[in-house]
Amino acid sequence: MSRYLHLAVLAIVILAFVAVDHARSPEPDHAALEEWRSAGAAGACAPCGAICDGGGGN
Amino acid sequence: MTAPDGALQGAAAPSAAGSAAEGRALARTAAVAALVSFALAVAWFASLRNALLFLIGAGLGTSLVLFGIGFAGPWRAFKVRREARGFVATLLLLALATVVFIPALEAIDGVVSNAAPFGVSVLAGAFLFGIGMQLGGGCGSGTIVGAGTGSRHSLWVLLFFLPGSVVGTLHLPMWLGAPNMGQVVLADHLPVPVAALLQVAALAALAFAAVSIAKRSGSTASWRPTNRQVAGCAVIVLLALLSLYVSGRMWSITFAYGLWGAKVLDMAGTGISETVFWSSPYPANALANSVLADVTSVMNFGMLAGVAALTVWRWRKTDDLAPGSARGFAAAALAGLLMGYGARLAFGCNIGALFSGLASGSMHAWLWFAAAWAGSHLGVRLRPRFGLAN
Repeated sequence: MSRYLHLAVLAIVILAFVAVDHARSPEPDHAALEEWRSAGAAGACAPCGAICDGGGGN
Repeated sequence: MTAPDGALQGAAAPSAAGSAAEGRALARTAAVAALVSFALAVAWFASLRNALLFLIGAGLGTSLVLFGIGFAGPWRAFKVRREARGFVATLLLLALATVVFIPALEAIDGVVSNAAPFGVSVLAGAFLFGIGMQLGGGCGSGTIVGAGTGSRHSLWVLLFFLPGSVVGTLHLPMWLGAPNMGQVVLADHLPVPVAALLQVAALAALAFAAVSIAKRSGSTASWRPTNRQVAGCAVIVLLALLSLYVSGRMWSITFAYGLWGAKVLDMAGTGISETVFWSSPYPANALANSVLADVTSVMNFGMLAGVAALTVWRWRKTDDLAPGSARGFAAAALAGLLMGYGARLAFGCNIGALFSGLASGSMHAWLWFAAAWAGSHLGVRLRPRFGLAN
C-alpha cells in the first residue's frame, strides 16, 4: 500500500474521531478558547501528565 | 489516414508527462486545501486561537522535516556509527531553547512551565521510552512526523501509543508515590541568567564529549550541524515560543495520545472518567470537552496535517519504505506501548519532558535525558532482533 493511501486512511480515521468526539461533547466555550495564555492565567499546570498538588494535570 | 508509429509515441509521451504534472498539481492543491480546511474547521468549532495553534503545529512538523531535526535517528547514528552531527544539532536546539525560554517564562505573564518531579517515575518512564523510541524509529515528535509521511511503521507506533498512554495514566498515581525530590527548577535557586548559562554550559560540555568520543573512534564524519540544521533549531524554538505566547503552555505532544485513548474508552462506556488521573481537574476537563478545545491535540493535528501536506506536495512515487513483516509490526506495537506508558510516567516525551523540561530549567529533564539515553542503548541493540537495520 502506498504512503499516500496510508495518509488517506489516517485522515479518515482522524476526521471520524474528531467528528464523533466533538458531537458528543458539550458546546465549547468559544470566548474562553479565544483567550490567549488562559492556561497560565487559570493557574493550571502544563499538560505533561503529572498530577499537581492542587489536583490539576501537569 | 493513419499516423506513423513514431508520431503516435511522440504525442503520447508529452501527454503522459502532462497528465502526471496535472496529477501532481491536483494533489498539491488538495493537500493545501485540506490543511486550510482543517484550520478553518478548528476556528469554527473551537476558536481562532486554536486554529493559530494548529498552524503553529503545522509549522513545527514541517520544520522538523525540512530542517532535518530529530532525536531517535541522530541518537542511533551516534551510538552505532559515532556520527555526532545530528546529536550535536539536538543539543544546539536544547541550548537555544534554554537561552530563550528560561527568561521568557519569567518575563511573560500567564504562562506555565513544564517543571515536574525529579524521581523514580521519570527514571523508569524515560528508560522505557528510550527503548521504544529506537524500536519505533522515532520519539514523540518523530512518530508524528513518520505518520505524516505515510510510514506504515510509524502509523502502527502511533496507534499503540494510545493504549500505552492510557495504561500509563492509570498507573501514574502509584508511580508518583515512588521516591522523588519534587520539582527542582534552576531558576528558583539561581538568577535567571546564571541558570540559563549553567545549563548551556552543561549542554556544551555534552557536545564536546560527544565530539571527542566520535573523533577517538576514528569517525571522519563532520560533527558540525549544517547551516540548515542551525536555521531549523532557530525556527523550531521561535515557533515553540509563539505557541507558549498564544496558549500559555510549553510545547508538548504525548498528553494528547493518552487523551485520545481515554476518549475512545469513554465512548465505549468503560468508566475511565472515574479513575484517579482522569477525574483530576485538568485531565477531566480535557476528557469531557471537545478534542478541538485541547491545545496539545490541536497542535498534534497541525503537525500531522503539515507533514502530510508536505509529503503530498513533494509527491514522490515511492512505496512505504518500512518492512511489512510480523517482526516489524511487533517492534512498532512494542514501541508504541513502551513510549506511551513511559511518557506518562516521565511527564512527557522528547518534546514535553526533554525540550520543554530543559527549557523550563527543570532538573527532571536531565534525568529524563540520561534514562532515555540508556534505554535507547538497549533499544538499538534490540532492533536487529525485530529485523530493523541499524
